[in-house]
Amino acid sequence: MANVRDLRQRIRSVGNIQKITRAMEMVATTKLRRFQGKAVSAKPYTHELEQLVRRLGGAVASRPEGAGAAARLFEAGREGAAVGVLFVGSDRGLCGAYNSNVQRCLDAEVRQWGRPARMFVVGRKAMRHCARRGYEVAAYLEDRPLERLSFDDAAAISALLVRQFVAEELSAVYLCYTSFVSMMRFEPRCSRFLPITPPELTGPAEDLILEPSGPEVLARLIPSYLETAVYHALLESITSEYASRRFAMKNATEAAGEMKHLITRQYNKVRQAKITSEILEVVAGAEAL
Amino acid sequence: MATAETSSRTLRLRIITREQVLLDTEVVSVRLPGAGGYFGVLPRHAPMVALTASGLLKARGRNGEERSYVIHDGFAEVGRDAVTVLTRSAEAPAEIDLERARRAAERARERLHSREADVDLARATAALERALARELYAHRPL
Repeated sequence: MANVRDLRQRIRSVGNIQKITRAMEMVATTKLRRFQGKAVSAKPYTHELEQLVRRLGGAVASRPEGAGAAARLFEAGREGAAVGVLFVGSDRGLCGAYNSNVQRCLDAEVRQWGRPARMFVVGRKAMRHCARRGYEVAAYLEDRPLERLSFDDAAAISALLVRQFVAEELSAVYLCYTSFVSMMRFEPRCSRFLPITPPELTGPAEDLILEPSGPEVLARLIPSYLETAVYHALLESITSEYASRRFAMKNATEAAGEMKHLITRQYNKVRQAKITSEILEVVAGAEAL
Repeated sequence: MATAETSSRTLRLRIITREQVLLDTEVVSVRLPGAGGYFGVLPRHAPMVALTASGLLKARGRNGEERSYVIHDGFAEVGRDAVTVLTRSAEAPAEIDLERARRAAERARERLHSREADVDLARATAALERALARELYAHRPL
């Protein structure tokens, strides 16, 4: 039977762990709120830009010659070239199944492509996964931590991906990240980034005036659109990471509470047994006299 | 020409930046800095998508009141009775931090003058344009 002192110590250490996990839960909650707010307020811009691409994209699909250099981004890349993937994971652990989910999603996709994949990695955990699987890593973007994510970072990453695609080093580019559905739901997702899927033609694109000219508008619109896509993938990933971490820490805090309760029960039992046996000893001693 | 008071049709003007919806209001006319110079939009304008540049957007409200915002490179989408401006950032002239704009202009100039190979000329030029527009229109209502 465990002795009283050991049990007391265990109660204390479980209590300390609980304090830590509770603090981490609170930190994650605050950060989650911050990133979620950022994601929500960035939504109108992304939405309008998407609408614009949808309206103009139809024109590109029907008349590629009028699109200028941007038309290249709608065409499939060089056959047989590697597939580029922007793979987003977290820097730190203790966030539940967040990393393993997105990793599993990536592995499944890579297997399906059957072509060599070339990784552009964000997050230390994601990097470690690539090393373990032996994926070719083209760039580890560790100087752009998601914690201090800015639009310029996303723009730089987007530009890097586009450059490699245009240089025909990649046949396609995918974004493998975690999309934030709600506080309780975040789904790993692998979506195509390049070539751009020609969007549905929604409006009468023909009589739309483009100022100064079609190619010039598209030359600026398409990069902006891709930048916001990357920005969103990164922002949603970090939001999911904190949602997942908050969830994991909440569970850990509750589990610690339960464990503390159980050990306290056992501790009381052992203590009572000890007291009883001590009284018995005293009584027996007194009787012997 | 119809005066502001008698014109019944209005335009819905929205300015949307990366961070927020800065403005969503009804106006009777808008003047915008386009990539090829300023242009005006009145209600019933033909559908258009135009590139914008750094400059001052002026809008006239139903009662003749004028509002202005410094906007930057982006897109202006003109529908039948709506103008949506998508731009990286925008602010009212009174909100501009002049010191910050001056420092930004200085940095951009330095980058343009430096002979290092890794300077992104297009980005530095755009940054300089933004800073200059802010400097020009800061605290200068209309």
